[in-house]
Amino acid sequence: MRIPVLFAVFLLSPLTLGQIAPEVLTVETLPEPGPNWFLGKTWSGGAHIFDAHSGEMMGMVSLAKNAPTLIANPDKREIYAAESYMTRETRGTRTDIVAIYDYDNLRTVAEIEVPNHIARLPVKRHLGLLNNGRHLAVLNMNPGHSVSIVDVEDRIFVDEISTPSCAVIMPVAENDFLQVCGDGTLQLIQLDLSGFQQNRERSTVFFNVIDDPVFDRVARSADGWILPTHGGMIYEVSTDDDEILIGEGWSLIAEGEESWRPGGDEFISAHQELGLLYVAMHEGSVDTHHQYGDEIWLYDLETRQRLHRHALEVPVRSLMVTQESNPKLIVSDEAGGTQVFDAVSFKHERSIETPASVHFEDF
Amino acid sequence: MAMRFWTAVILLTVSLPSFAALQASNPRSNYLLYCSGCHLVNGTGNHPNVPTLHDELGRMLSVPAMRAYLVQIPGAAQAPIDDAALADVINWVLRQWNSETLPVDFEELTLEEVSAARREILADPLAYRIRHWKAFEP
Amino acid sequence: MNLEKIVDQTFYWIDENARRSAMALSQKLSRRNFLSRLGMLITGAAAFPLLPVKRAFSQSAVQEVGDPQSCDYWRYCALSGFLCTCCGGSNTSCPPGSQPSPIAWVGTCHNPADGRDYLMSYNDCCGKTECNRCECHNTEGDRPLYFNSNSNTVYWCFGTEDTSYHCTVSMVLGTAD
Repeated sequence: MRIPVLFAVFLLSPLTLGQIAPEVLTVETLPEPGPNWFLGKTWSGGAHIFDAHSGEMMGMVSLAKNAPTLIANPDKREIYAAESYMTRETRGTRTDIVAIYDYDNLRTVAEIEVPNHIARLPVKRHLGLLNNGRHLAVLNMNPGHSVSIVDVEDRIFVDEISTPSCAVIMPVAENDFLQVCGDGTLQLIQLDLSGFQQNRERSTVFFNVIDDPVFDRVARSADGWILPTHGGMIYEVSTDDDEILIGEGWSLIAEGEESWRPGGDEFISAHQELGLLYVAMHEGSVDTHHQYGDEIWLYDLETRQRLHRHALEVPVRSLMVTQESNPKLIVSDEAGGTQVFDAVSFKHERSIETPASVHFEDF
Repeated sequence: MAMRFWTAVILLTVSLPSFAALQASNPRSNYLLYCSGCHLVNGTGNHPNVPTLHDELGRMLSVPAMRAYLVQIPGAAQAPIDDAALADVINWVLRQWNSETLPVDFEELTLEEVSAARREILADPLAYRIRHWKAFEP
Repeated sequence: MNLEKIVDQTFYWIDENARRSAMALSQKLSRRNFLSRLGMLITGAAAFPLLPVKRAFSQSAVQEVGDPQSCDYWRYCALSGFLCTCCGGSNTSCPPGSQPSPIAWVGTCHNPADGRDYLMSYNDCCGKTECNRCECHNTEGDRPLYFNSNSNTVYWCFGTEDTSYHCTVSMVLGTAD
């Protein structure tokens, strides 16, 4: 009979299990981020936090589908993301927000509603943090371009700035940002301390959008930004108050290498202090700018000499060099894996199999 | 700091590339290629985010400063077609969909006018529109 | 606005007498498209669409050749996304229950069947989960997202009630020459 057996088990249980208490389910808080931690942004699966040293996942920032990217602010121990939600996921009322996540628990501590037309595509420069972390700029497309400014300290929406035919957000100086425009110029938007537009400037024309456009993927340099073109030219840009400074273009492509072009998703990254530029390159014709790279080319920004050509087993989609004194080169490849290299020696240190990251952010 | 915010038109020497390979031979085709994607094949746009090209443009031309605006608005200025083709498209849009609202003394945009206007970059079209055409309702 | 209306007005605009040399434009075409064209010329006689002709080409006034569920199909020279032809739609109709986006981006593709260039409107069908079939990423003439008129990677679900991306069609707006 069942009951006596159960009764017997009950009698036995305290004797057999008496020494061990049942385990209790707890929750981790995120450890203090170490050097060479990074965020792997997936297309629609949020962002995973990894420690490049151990290859371990430390936690996840759960985001809306198609969220463009997220930015970590170590001073505030907060992470900012722009997200778009519909009440029934693919239909219903659309609400766009800037969400603020805390480091410890990776949960939202605040949400600020913004105009519901953020540009939903995983692109790093759809977000920019300005004014010592007070203002977050978010790129919109509706289908015209504009930029929403959010005060993430006071947690309020400030303003939407109309910027037709200019996109990409490149923070410069204290409270300004540069954009790339379809007429071959850069645009500088200067904000006042409250986050409202105070001034707008345009540069001279320095590229042709039809013949050799500047990518909407750029790399931050020590004093500004590095802009690649489809044909492999590099323009280093910065500002001096309201003046836009564009360096003379130089080519990644040497004689005899004309079949090579930069390409991929976030295919370019620079170590600001060491002055090293990493670019994913492939062989291809015009209009192959999204093709994943077969090699990573490394340049010294001061001499503009190429230091190394690194061939890859699996084509690379995006890459990022960490800003540490012992930097890592984080690479996401066509097979969906993440590879960690020593950024100077290119020694392959480890593979992280999942998830497939679209691009990486610093942490 | 000077209120440069309102100086939305910036004069500079714009060197336009050759567009021969990309432009069609007639304004209708150029309209389809470079304007219809947002303003739609029939020009009605998508209120409130994409302006209609019907009637509104004719009314705008009652303000002289808005002639250049039609050339300088980025969708027009940045179309990869040369000045003559751009003049043709704008005049075609005006004839096609604004004939009833154009000023009585309206004269078509000339090539010289379009070339001159195109060499000035209109950095803040919204501010310009608000300033010069107060009747406009987005 | 429904797609049928767009197509009706499209045919109104086509100027059958307009002529322009397509050679200069052809030089801009990518190598992949050239090979695709070459392949079509070689196998053209044997190539025919796999979809029922009626559904695939019911609205087409254009000569068609090739497989409209393949990324190499001539209409898709600059299409980035999922093909509505694999999702219950066609090149001129959105799958059931999805919403046609009136706003699109317009490119130019070469038709190997008649040797002419056509203006193609890439409209998205929206309001549903991503179809996830027949994903293509053809970048002919694609430009970065600050140059709207030629940017194909953006989600073009503007002007629909729901802005979630489902699939992409490819409609003829007229001839390029």
